[in-house]
Amino acid sequence: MRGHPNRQELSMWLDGSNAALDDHIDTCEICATSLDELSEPANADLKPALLTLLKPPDDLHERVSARIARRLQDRRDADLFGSMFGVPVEVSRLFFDDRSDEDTIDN
Amino acid sequence: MTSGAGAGRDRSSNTMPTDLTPEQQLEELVRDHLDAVYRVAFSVVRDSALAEDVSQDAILKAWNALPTFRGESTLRSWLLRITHNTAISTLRRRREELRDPNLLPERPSSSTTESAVEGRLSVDAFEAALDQLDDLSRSIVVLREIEGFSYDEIADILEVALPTVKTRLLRARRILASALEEWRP
Repeated sequence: MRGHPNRQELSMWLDGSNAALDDHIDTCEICATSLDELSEPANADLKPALLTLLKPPDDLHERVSARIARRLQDRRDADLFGSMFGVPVEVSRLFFDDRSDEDTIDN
Repeated sequence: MTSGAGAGRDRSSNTMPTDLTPEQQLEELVRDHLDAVYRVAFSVVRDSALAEDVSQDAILKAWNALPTFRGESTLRSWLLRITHNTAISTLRRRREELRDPNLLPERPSSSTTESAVEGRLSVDAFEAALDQLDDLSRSIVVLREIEGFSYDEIADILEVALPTVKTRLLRARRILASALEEWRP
């Protein structure tokens, strides 16, 4: 894109249209400033509404803890199976746990 | 799992205490961070069952990687970056599996949502506005409005440029604030 979007285009983007401008606006400090000036400050307190819509289930902690415990037990079983039959850990775990949680983590 | 270790520790703590056993570290991750992890996951995948899967995966990934955590960011922001990346890759994998856009993760039913906000006229407009946002904008909104992270921290967690955080948040706030007007009785 050549140059910066004008006020009308920025205004349309603010309203949720003009998605073609996303790439430019995502990296442009000048447009970020223009948008800041253009936009009425949204003073609404969004937090209560967001907390309501994104509320975790009441039993989330119990369920996830139980699932994690089960998964770790499966892994121990897999390791035992592997050691008994001389199967590499990576292979034996495939039989017991189809979900990998050992991806490389970027610090 | 037992509880008790590290109760009341500040979420901004940079590191996981080394005096905890691995099991206690796992408990601490769940107890102190699961709700935030779930909200970020849900903001991306928009499906409660899938968000729960993502939460479980992200916490286990973080727990496995704790020995390599260098404390360059807070533990929570590091964990939420893992969560966001896990949610994005889960959603991508799910979309590839389904291929059919009509089978994409379902939205929470309005009846469930409405029962959770008894006394309000309707949450439809607000929920629709939230759905109208892209995945990235929803995550930015959650990290800012609920978790209270700074723009710089959000940019770091989501691995995006600072203008992206500022502008997407500006637009999201505008859209959501407008919908909120319709929500209020």
